[in-house]
Order: sequence, then structure tokens, then C-alpha cells
Amino acid sequence: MSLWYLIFLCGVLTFLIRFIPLSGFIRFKGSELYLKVINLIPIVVLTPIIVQALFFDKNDDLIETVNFEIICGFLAILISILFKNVMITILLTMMFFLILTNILFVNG
Amino acid sequence: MKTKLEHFKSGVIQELPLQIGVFPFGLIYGILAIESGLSVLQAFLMSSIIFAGASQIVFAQFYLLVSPFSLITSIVSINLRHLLYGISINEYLKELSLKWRIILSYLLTDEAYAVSIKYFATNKNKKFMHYHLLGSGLTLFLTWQISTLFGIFFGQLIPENINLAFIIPLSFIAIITPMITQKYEIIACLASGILAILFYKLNFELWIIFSAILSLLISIPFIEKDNSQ
Repeated sequence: MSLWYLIFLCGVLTFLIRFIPLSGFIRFKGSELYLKVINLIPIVVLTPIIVQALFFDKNDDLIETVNFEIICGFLAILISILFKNVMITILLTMMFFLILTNILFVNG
Repeated sequence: MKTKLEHFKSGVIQELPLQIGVFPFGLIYGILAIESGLSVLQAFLMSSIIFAGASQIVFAQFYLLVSPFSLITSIVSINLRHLLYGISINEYLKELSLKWRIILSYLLTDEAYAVSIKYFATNKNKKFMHYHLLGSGLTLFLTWQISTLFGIFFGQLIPENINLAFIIPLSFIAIITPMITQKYEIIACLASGILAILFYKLNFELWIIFSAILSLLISIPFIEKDNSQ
């Protein structure tokens, strides 16, 4: 198969996966339980992505010791609870992370 | 009441901090694409045609090694989580015209979804709210195209010791932590985290969709208990 066809096919499939639920062709029932389950989706999809970044290394192995990412992850949760502000959480935690990794513990 | 422009600006402004994390990801894709033998045009246009970071990286890494069918199956698996994003965000966009739903589907990425779903859930002013997703989506789209170009042409000049990509999970923490206020939300969060670790070795990011769906199922009895109280 030509490489361009393959790229286009992957593009169309990626778009369709995003589009089908928004298309209006499938109707979802709006019971109270359904709405509460739907509201959980950001939590249950984004949490695994966070877990991957905090608990797995570049070789996809589970990190068994406390690392800077885990420390900063918990710090971000605390700052987020305190300030409820995305920008403040990112700035404060990232400053702390960069100080840890590039100044205090340059060699890891 | 907020105007279209105000919603759009909010989307752009709230999406901007995440771009510090998206940019290195685009660079990595650009470098990998060229190293894997894709032409400059193929590498660059793939960022518009597919417009999905993880899928593009998998494409660049594997298109010479596996059959087209395996490659397509992998890309579909990687993107399955977007089905859940669509179902979730559809609650706020179902009154829109088909044209709008096509545009917003194309722009529905992890980062745009994360900031816009929070805005939709907390903003009572529903009219023109979709301009927020347009703003966040276009911001990410532009960053992705520019960072891909940088990766293609200047990728080798970038220092590797600053882990800016760490901003993306931090942003997600900052977005979902304030959303978790009920017992069943804590259970869903813990379940999806633990299941992610258990399923992590599944290929092609299937662990994300598996842990998400299972944790939704686990939390249903707790939601019902919450409803009955």
C-alpha cells in the first residue's frame, strides 16, 4: 500500500473515532446515572496518563523507588487543592521539579 | 453573557500553558519521522492529516516494520480513548450544526479536551461555549504544526536534559483534582490509576481504555449508592 494512502487512511480513522460520538447519529440516554458516569470520564481517562508519567520510566518499567516525578505529582495535587488554579499549579510544581533535577541533583 | 470572542480567548489562554509540554512532543515526532525515512512533506502533513501525537510517533516507528493492517489496528487502538472524550463532550455540543461537530471532532485532542471539559462543566453560560474548544483546539493545532517543523529541521539542536514534557501530566493533575469531590469520584480515580499500572503492559495504549472502562464499571454501584442517599 502506498505510504500516502496509509497516512490518509489512518487520518480518516482517527477522525472517525473522534467524530462518531459527536455526530448525533447515535443517541445517548440522559439518565442521572448516565450523566454521572459521563462526568467521570475526564477523571478515569486522564488518571492513567498521569500514572504513566509518574510511575513508569522511559523503558516502560514500573519505577519501584520514590522519584522526582512522584514527589512533584503529589506536590501538584496539594497545590491544586490549595489554589484550584491550573497555571499556579503548573508554575510552582515545574519550578520545584526543575530545581530538583537541574540544580540540586544534577546527576540524578 | 460572554461573547464568542471571550469564550474563544478563554480557550486559547487556558490551553497555552500546556503548549510548553506539547512542543517537545512535537519536536520528538519531527525528529523520529525524518529518522524513520519519511519525506519532509510526509512528516509535516501527517501532523495535519492524522493530528494525533502518539499515533504519529507509532506510525513513524513501525510503518517499515509491520503490515499496514497491524499499523492501522495499532492507531485505532491508541485513539480509542477519544470515543470516551466524544461521548463526554457531546453532552455540551449536541445542539450544534454538523459543520461545527466536524470541526470540533478534528480538534478533539487530549489537551484540548482536558481544558475545555473543565470549562464546560463549570461554566453556566452555555451559549457559544463551543468557541472555547475551538480556541483550545486551534492553539494546540498550531503548536503541533510549528513544533513538528522545528523537529524536522532543527531537532538535533535541542538539549535533552530539561524534561518539559512533564508539564502535560502536571496540567492534567491540576485539571482533575478540583473535579474530585464525591466519594465515587475518588474511587473512580484510584481504580483507574491502579488498573493502569496492572494493564500497562498491554500494547498500543489499550491500557488507557481498559482501565477507564473498568473503573467506570467499578464506580457505578457507588454512584447508585450516592443517588439513593
